Amino acid sequence: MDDSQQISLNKVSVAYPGAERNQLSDLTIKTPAHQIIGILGPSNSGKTTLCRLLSGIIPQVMRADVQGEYRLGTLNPTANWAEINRFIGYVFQNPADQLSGMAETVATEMAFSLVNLGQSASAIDAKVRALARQFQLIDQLNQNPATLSGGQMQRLAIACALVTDPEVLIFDDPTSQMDPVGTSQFFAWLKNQHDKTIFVTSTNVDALCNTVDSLWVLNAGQLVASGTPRKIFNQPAKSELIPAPVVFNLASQMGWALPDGDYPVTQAELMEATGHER
Amino acid sequence: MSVEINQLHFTYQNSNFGLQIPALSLDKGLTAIVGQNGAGKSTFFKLLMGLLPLQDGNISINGKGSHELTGRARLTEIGILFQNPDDQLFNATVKKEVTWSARQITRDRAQVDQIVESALTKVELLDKADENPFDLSLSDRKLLAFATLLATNPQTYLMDEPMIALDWHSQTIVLHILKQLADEGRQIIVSTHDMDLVAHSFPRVITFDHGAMVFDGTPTALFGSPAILAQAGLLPPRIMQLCALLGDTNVYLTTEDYVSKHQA
Amino acid sequence: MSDSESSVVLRQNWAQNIDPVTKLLLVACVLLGSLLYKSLTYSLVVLGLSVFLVLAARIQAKALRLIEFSLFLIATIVLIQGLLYPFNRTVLLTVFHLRFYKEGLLYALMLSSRLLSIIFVTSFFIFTTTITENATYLEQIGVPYHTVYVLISVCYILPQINKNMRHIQVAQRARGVNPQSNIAEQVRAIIPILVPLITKTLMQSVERSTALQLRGFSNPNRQQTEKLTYYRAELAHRGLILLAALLGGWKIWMILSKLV
Repeated sequence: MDDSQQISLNKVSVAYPGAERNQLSDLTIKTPAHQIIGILGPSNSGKTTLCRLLSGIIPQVMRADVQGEYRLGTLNPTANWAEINRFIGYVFQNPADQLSGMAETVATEMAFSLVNLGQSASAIDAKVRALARQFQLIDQLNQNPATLSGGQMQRLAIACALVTDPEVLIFDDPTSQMDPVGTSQFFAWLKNQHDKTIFVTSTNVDALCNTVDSLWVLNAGQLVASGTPRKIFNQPAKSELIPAPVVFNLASQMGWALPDGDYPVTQAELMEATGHER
Repeated sequence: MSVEINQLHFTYQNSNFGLQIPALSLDKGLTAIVGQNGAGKSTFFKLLMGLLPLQDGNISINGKGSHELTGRARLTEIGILFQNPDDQLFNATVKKEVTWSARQITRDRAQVDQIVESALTKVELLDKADENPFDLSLSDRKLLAFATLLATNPQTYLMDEPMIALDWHSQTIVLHILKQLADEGRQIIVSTHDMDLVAHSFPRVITFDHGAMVFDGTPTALFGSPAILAQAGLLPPRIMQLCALLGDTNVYLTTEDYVSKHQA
Repeated sequence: MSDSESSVVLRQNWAQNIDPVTKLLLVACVLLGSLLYKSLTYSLVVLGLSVFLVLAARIQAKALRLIEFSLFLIATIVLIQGLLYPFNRTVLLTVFHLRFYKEGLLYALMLSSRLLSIIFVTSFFIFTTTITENATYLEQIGVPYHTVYVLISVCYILPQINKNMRHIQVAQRARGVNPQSNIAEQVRAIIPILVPLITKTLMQSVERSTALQLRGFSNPNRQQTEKLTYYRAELAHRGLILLAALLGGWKIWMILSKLV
């Protein structure tokens, strides 16, 4: 596979100005693009910094000392910002941080990125309506964005990131304000996204395992594990860093293993291991 | 040590939303409040804290009317942890933040220092005492907010979604402290979306739906009532969801619960 | 739960049909106009017109809140002029051995009227347009969007500080502080948190800027799709600029003719 189809990081380190230590140290990994990658780890492990790096916010918008090389498929996040930012969609940890402060209504807020691209009013209108329908914000289109509930604001933040049809999506803890029903809807939607490179950080291990193609585990700024969810949890215990999904706990305690000896970590694998697969 | 609520009615101006609780008595120990976003959990907490005016009915906290309590007297009875720690923090360093709270209940220097050290040690933030709260991660800020609450050590703790934004290690710390407090005889009222948490740690759960209380009982009873879960828009704990996929619709509160019932 | 500033809902008030630049020019004219004569009667007339404007736009409650801040300044003016105005002759009242003179107090009244006129007409501008409306209109008439962005960032700082302060007050109440009854207590409660307050506000500014850049704000292809329309905007602009020039010119003429 040529480099344009790979996500690669080579000895990447990031230090914020004035900080004593690196926030990220010597990250090195190569993995195919167009997959969903979950990022896990304790707080302060560098997850948000990694998200910022992958999206180009560091070093283009936020200053930091970056070493090493990295690219996302065909995209080089350090390239001309004006050209590449439309291809990257980023959802902040706190959705209120994403508001432009220049929009009276939810519709204008969603249209913001497209206005910046100079698109026509009719094209913008069509796109905004389509996304509003998808994220159940149609009734809120004329509302002031600051008056939305936490869950609605998170959906708005996601819609705003998607409006330019980006190739790369980065979600920093996207469901923290949502209730369980909203959360499962989000991850179900995520699982249906193809031909995009997606990074998701979350503390919801079960949802991540069911949704992502691979996991990156960070601790204290270093990449301590990477691979499919199944591989990661079937390795010797990392229970101090991240809890295992319920599926894994159940299966390992009941002895329900998959044919290759691994214990399942997703619902589908659980069905397979217990002979319930359809 | 109890919170008694009687004929409570509250409606927001400019909105149809109304909270109604005919009667509720909360005793010491751990109680979970569940319900969808907008069902009334936050409103309920704000009323208990006196952050919203009492329109109708009365709330008495350990024998005193909730809206008559002021300042220090209130602090020793009831305290709240907001969902977003940034709504609660406003000092320049971690240590000053906890000191501020400690000084609300005592002016004695030595006592304040001891309270601050104890609280920060419990949440494992002592080594970050001189840092600016804004430089901490969201998880640590939440722990800090919790530490400020520990500093005043009220009889009743109100926790609005305490586990959100905490990383796994911090969640275990907080849960451990809450259980200790409950054992000491304090009253811990937690609002949460996390049904697994409710199932494995709370002996009592109250369910809100559209401003009304629709359930008050044990988690086992709640998760054994699919009708109530559906009405309130709730899902059962993950272990039960998985078992349902496997064709088993019994009530299990934890994985260990299931395993112990199925291993020979 | 997020709160919202009571932002103006589209076009319910006649004042919203007037464009932001006209309102700013109005402020300039009132400023120049109030400086024209030193007579008390004249200043009170100008004040009267400004008050009328505020009442007509039904923003009197908000305008009064803005006045609260200037009360301290006005008190200082009254104190200084009442005691030390160079043309003081007739004593009006004596407080703690301090003699307040009639001439000084009347002068202070004139100065205060000027100040209040300007504040009222400025409040007309502030409370009948939203920051986003101002930003959109400025861009529409050709101000480069980068300049617009800098301007609105500054405009956001005060409401943001206000909002953060209210949040902090709720937090303080939740953490045991009684709601403060008088200004002295409020000030005392705010001082220790001033630095974190400002830091937080600035950080929010930075985050907003990051979000905007992320969404392509610096793209040269940016093209507005919404065009706002107002009542006789161009005519009003020309008229008021002319008026401002006349007022300014008249004042300069008066100054020069005294020198000759």
